[in-house]
Amino acid sequence: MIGLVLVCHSAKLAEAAAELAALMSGEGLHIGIAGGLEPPETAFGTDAARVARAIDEVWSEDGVLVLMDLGSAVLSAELALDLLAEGRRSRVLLTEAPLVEGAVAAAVRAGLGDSLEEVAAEARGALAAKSAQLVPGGEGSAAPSAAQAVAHGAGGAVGGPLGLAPETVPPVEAPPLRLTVHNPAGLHARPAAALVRTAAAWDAVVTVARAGSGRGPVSARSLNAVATLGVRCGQEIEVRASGPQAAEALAAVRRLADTGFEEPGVGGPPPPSAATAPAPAACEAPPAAGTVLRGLPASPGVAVAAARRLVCRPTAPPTDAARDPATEWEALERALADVAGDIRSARDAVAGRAGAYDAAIFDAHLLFLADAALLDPAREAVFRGQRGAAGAWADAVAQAARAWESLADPYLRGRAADLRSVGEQVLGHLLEPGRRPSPPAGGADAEHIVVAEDLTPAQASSLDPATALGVACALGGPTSHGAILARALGIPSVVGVGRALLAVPDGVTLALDGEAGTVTVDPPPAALRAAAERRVRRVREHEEARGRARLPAVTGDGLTIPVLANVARPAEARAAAAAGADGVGLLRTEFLFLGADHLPDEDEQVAAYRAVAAAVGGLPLTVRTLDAGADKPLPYLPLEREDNPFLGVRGLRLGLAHPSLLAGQLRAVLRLAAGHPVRLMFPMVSTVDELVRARELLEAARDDLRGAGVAVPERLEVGIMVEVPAAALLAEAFLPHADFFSLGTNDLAQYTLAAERGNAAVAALADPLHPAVLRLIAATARAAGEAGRAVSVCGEMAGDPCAIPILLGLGVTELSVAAARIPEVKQAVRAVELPAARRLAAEALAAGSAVEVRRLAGA
Amino acid sequence: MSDAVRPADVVAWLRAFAGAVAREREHLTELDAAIGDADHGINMERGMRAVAARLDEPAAAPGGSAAGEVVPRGVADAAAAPAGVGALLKTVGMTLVSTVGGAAGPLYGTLFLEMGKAAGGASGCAAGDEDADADSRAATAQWASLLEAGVAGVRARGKAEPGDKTMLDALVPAAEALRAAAEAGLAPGVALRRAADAAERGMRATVPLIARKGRASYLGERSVGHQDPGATSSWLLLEAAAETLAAEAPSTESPVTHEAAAEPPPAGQREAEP
Repeated sequence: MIGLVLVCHSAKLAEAAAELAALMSGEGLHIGIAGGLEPPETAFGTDAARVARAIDEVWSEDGVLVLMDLGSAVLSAELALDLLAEGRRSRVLLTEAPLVEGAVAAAVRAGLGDSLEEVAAEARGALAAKSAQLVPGGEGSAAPSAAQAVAHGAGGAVGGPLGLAPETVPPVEAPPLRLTVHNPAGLHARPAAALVRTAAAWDAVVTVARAGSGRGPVSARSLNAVATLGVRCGQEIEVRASGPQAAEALAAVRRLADTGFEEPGVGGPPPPSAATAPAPAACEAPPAAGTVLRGLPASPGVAVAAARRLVCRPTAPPTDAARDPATEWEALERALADVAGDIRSARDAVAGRAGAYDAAIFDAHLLFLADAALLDPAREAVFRGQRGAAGAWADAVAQAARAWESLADPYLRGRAADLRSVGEQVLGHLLEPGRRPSPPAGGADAEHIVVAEDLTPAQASSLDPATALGVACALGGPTSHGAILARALGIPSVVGVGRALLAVPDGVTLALDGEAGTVTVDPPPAALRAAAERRVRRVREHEEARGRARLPAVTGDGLTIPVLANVARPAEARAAAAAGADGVGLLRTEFLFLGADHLPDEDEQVAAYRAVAAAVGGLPLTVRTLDAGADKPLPYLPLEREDNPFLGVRGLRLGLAHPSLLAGQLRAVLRLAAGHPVRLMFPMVSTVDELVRARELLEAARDDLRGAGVAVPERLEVGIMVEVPAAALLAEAFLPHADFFSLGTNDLAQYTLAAERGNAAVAALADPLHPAVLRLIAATARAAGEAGRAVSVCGEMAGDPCAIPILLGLGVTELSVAAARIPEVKQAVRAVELPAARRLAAEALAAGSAVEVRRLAGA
Repeated sequence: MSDAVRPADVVAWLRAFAGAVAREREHLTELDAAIGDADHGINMERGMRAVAARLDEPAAAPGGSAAGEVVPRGVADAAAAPAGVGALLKTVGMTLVSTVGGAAGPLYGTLFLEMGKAAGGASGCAAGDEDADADSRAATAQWASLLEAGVAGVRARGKAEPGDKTMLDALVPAAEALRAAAEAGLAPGVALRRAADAAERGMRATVPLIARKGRASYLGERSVGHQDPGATSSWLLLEAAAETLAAEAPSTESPVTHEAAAEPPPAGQREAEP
């Protein structure tokens, strides 16, 4: 293989050009560079001695090709020849080829092992593709020079000029291959180089033509020739091969095409950074059968189903036909209230199916609806500008979104998308009252894979996991809201697939692999089989778990761990019981309060709680009193606006601040407890005094009810949510007043690491597997264990298979998780051996970081 | 051969040229700013500073450079020469090649490399102590041969001709004048003065020319009216030689005396000796 030397005035230019060329060449090509002056000089310039050294460095008996930029580079390269050993001069060729294009073309050809003269000719012809693209008169006008260039270089097996006439094609021994190119920029240099490398690896003469264009066939050995075909996105190429390995060569080319010719985002190897999703330009042609589109894994699992595009109907900003301002304003207020209702129900739905944390995504959306930055300009426009409600709202949203977009912080900039999404919802309600908050995913009756540009939280929450088997998004990253929600809902998902995805017509079968991050379009039978097998395996595991879900979860050494459900609505209680829950570990009573327009009275509450109790049959129910605060405001309860709601009046603090509200709830729980096994739990307790005061309210309520002749149980177990580090550290002090502890690990992690989980910039810090959080869990569990009390975990980590052994090793006695997680959590408990779990827990406590803990846990 | 051209003279010449380039740096750069890329003065100063540094090194002998051969020392320089003239010139050439950066690097590099080759390979007249005149004539002849070889190299490297508005517009007339002076039997100091004057005339003649080579050629007609910076630095090169050699024979155009020729080099140059 010959060597290449690049001579430039700039060291950086030389390095970059060499890097670019090396990307194209495959392995083994030596590229020497001589750029700039020797240190300590930093000036631009060329140095003949350095050129000579570079030639010696890449020396090959096959020869060395030298490319250079201008002026002194030429003189220095010539002088360098004089400086070489006598015998080497004749095998060094200086070429006038353009530096960058020539280096790339030469690298590809040299990588094939072609001769010095062939490589030099290829380099000299390297402007052909550019000329074809740019020279006025279109593609044809530059063809002669391209043909000439390739004719120069064609040697050995290839032969023939660029415009290889059909009759000169060697006898075809394999049926021609037709492929559609999906690369957004077409078969441009890098994909073309991949094609050349692949085709040349076989003992076959391979030609490529642009189907139906009369361009080509050309030798697949020449990057210039292939590039000069000018194959654009969506166009077809015809690849022919003859020779002993013709079939192998074509098969290899097909495989290469399946990977998008190694171009990230089209197919091929994963993009270098998993943090950002590639977003290639639009490609309108539908991907060919078998095309593997590659994105980023967002939610694990495998799905095979028909594609169904989730259509976002952009609502056209209305032309104003303004009625009187009061009517317009009223319409806007009604739309805002409707959307708020929609968002709340979406949030509750997600909270039920996934978890409160994921549902919190919607809270930001709710805040927009009450944001003065939107409402004030809209009001101004309606009352003073005589605008219609829709126009006023659309303008206010657009202006505020632009303000968000102008911010430097990428997280904050991202909020503009949320704002626009909410703005659209309101506009939809204004223009089409009664319209659904988000378009349902098609008919939603048949199994399908949702195909979308990106998934708004509202859209994600409307997905039905029974029919939406997978989600594929053209845009977005693994931390986009849509991805988080898909994961929370257990729907396999791939994001950042690129716009080629959007060209897939509805009904085409897709195989989606949420772990590999791939979407295969109309997969070949083998791929279908493999996907189906994986899916079957997962389903079998799932079924096995489901089959044993109603059995107790007993560790390998015989300890029974109650696996309970977190429930936010009566409907979820039924699902929890069906999923095999041993009880309800956390009944969020907020559903009664947050969705209502008035404070539910005691009777309403009792009815609602009894509905939940009925839904779970005789299973025990842990009822948590209202957990609201400035971050989750109640419309009918005036709350002071707080700069920092998470550190403000929330949880039990709110109940104590509004004792009548709490007392009503306590009476309702006591009445429920008369006919059902119930535990009572107070949220976010920080001090023993808070608990003592809450218990006094409870006793007063009990006395009240007794006095009124209402049946109340003699004894009601009372526990606290341990979410504040102070409570965890002083767990012992709570023991005289608390019958059990329940660790709210989401908030505990947030408070321990001072990182708000809803803030993407710091959310990753709030990892409940952080050793500091684990130490707080250990302190709580130790205190509870010594007193023989139950200690439960109801945060998300309770459903994390890699956290379960650690939690049990720390002494946790109950787990409470989303209903959907119950079968698998039980299986995970069954796999635990306590002595090993305790050792693991001890190591985790001694670790220095969450990452280290995850490594220990094998996550 | 014996070096009729003494290494000490070459060293003194190069130091003088380095000084001139440093002094004229801004001027050269201004000239280049008009029709080139405004770096000729900077580049040449950088290159000649590097050359001067090499001359200052204790082992100024260029034995390790690309020019490996050691040239037998001339009789007159038996005690003083750091190394042969050929090796010395080649070291200068390689140093310029690696430090100038612009086109002047390979061009001046070639000039000195070719001069070095000529010095290493040319057959000079063996001269004895007893014939100072012959010695002097031989020195002039060798200066002429060296410059001719160097200029031929530049011409080949740059593929330029006189009239193209390049270094050659100064170098070619200088080489011709030097050859004529050698044939007239003039002493090196006088001969180089004539060469320098010819270079100056050539340099001035570049003003009305249209540049046909290098960056200035991009300007076409607009290069007219500007003096060529390369021709200017070439004149400085010849002027430095004339001044250095004239210092040895300040008074006359007559052949130098044996005593003058045998004078030890100035103290500054002895520092460079091994």
